[in-house]
Amino acid sequence: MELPFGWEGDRLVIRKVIERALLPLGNTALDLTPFLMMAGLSVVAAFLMRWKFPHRQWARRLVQTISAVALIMGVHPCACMSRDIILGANAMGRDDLGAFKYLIVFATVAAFTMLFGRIFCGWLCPLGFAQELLGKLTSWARGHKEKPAFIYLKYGMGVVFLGVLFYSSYKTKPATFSFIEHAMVFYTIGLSLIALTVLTDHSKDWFFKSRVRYAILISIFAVFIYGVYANGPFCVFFTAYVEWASLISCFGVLLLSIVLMNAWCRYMCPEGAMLGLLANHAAWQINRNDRCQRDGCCEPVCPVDCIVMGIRDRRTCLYCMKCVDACPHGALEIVNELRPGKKQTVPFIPRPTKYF
Amino acid sequence: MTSAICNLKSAILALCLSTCLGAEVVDWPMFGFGPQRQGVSPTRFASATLEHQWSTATPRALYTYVEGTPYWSSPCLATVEGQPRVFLGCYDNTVYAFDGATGEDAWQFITGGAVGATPVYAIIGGHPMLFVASSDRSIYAFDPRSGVPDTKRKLWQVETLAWKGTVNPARMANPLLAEIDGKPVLVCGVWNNNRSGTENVQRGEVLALEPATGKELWRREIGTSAVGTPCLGTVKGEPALFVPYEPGAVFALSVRTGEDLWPKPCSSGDEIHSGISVGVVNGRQLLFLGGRTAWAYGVDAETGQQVWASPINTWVDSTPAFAVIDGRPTVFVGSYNYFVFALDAATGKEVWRYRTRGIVQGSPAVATMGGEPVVCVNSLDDHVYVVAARDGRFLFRYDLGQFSWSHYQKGKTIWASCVVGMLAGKPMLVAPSYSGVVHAFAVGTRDDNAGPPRDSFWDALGEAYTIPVVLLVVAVLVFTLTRLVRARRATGPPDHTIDGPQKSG
Repeated sequence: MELPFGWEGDRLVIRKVIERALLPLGNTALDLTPFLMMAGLSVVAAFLMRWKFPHRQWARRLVQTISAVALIMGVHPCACMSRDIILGANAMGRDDLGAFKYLIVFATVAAFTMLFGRIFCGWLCPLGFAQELLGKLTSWARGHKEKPAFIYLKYGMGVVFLGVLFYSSYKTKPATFSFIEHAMVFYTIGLSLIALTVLTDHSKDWFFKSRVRYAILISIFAVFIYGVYANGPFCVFFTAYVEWASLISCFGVLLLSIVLMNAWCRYMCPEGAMLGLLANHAAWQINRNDRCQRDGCCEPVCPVDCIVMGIRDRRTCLYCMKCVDACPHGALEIVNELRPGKKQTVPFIPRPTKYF
Repeated sequence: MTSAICNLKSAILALCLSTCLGAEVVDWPMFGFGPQRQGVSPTRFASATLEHQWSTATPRALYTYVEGTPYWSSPCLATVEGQPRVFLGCYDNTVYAFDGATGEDAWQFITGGAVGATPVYAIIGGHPMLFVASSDRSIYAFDPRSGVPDTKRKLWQVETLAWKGTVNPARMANPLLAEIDGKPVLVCGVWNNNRSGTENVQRGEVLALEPATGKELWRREIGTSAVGTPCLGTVKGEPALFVPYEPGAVFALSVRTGEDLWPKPCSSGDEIHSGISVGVVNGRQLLFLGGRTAWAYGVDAETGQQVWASPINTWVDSTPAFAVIDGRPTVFVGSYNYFVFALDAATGKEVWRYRTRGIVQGSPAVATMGGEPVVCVNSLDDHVYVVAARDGRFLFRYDLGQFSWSHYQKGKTIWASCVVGMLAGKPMLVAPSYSGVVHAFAVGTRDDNAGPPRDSFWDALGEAYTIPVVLLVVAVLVFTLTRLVRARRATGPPDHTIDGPQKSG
């Protein structure tokens, strides 16, 4: 039996288990695997979100695991939604088949996001899963924030991280005439700076999540519109081969998730920022009911710190349901806001530095 | 013989004899040397000590890179009525004919669009003709002789799609000239698209024309996306065109009628941007191509079934070259991970690999230097390389000059390949460069070898722009931390606890 992973020469090769395209279209065959996987897993995740049962987080882990395995081993094209949007939009009217191929992943994820929120981020994303898993396994590191050991770990990691990135940028020598080719390495350096800043002064978390993230999104779009084949830590999961820049970025992101849970999802992920804009008006929202005791039990469990003073930042929330499961009073619930009278009119998240 | 395609015939003959690399053939008349696109020339260089002979003048400046714009097409080498000529298309819409002895302009012709497809030279009915596919949606036939007035240069023009205001530049594959039943046939893959909402056209098709007159013999629509460079082989004794289709399929079409010869097209699972070459391995005709699935493939030409797939680990857009080296049929492939691979054509197993310092997108050309088969290839590290075909040993490298545009879009442009052939009575290596000029090399007394590439630490750092970026990052880091530490000392630690603000309130 041929394993899906193997070393060929000096490189890691990921072979896809599903080799054949599924949909004959336009004298060729279009790979519908991503669409079918995203749609199927999203429906399962939505069902588990809505169904109240005690072991939901374990079920989520299971869905995340299945999703990671399915996406890594079954999907050929990179699910880089930012680039695919631009390529797809550019191909519309010229090459509709190509446009369909580029846009199908984003269209599927966006449709489910508009219905169920950032279900992809919380339940399906392999990078988010890897970060969360690593963050969970190393929770001891963040459990002693005031101890000198954590401070040494934090800054030591920063120095080591920069060293690794320094070496990696040497290793990933750009293939084009501009370093932007492997820009993700430099984005990851930026992420490390943001993470260190937030760890030093947590009140900056809101600023980076609500402002810098969208600046990153715009800059990523600018890079793609410029026509540069920029990659991301995400690419390492999807491409049939390993690029050094994405591998190093992935390594850096995972390293950062030890000191700051889901660091990439919070501040950098352009796909997450895009989906966050859609999730802001999603049909399904996690809202408070009148059983809320305002004891703040939902806040510390959030992996991306999106609940502040009991108010959830809709654009950052990953829909992981940890807050819902953690509330002993059953004060949080999924509400379909498309139904009349269900829309909760709460002010958008206030700046958390100003407590009341 | 009624229609004498002398040069083409000699090229085909040379291909048949390519195992011995012994016959002397003058030209490189089309992309991939012959209709099989094997990229093997019987040209023999006395040694691998190459001397720069000439370089051409820079074409008209174009300061803006447009997605997919090629710089030069791959060259076509020919001797036209005793005069050595190098024919190329260029991004500046012009077809150039350079003097093969000096590199000076012999003549030019401006078409309506960039010319990225390699011209085809042949003698049709006793008259030399040059066929050019331009992105102005047209296929041209020219009289390639010098001294012909510009008004009489163009013999015919076939427009594949009428102009409208919403029409985009067409993507033209490298044309192919074959002789079927004693008659020449010119075949070209064309992708036309009109973005208009009401008259929308998205058509990838293959056209067969009569070379003497431009009369359409047949036209076969392949699909809505781009069609790649076709090559010539046979399926069950029937002359067949193997046509790559960009979304990920290979079609086998009858050269006579354009009808399908396979029950269904061969699907690769992902995009194909490379051309296809044909070779006979152990009595079996195989197609060789690369894909964007990070594999190179060997496909049975009779059935369209995959025989082998070899992991290249990145995109392969260059057309594989096929040659028999020391009795072993070998495929040479350039890839995006900077390597030139030599693969066993029967099994796909890697024989050797050689790492350049840039993407190898041009197709390799195989010749003989100093009695040894060699592979010549253009790399996007600005150099042309010559390596031994037996073991990938470095032999020669020359700096062709830096890229004259600020950037390009990875994977959107096919860059020119180098070719080898006899020009002005001596074997020459002709390498177009994106610096703006075309270089030619021949065996000489001066050795212009730049030596093997070295990966010095500082070179690599300089390439990667790492020093300024990392210094900037460190500076920002120090500045940020200093400010934060000062602010913290002034105000005390922030209150992170959930209950903190409530208590204070």
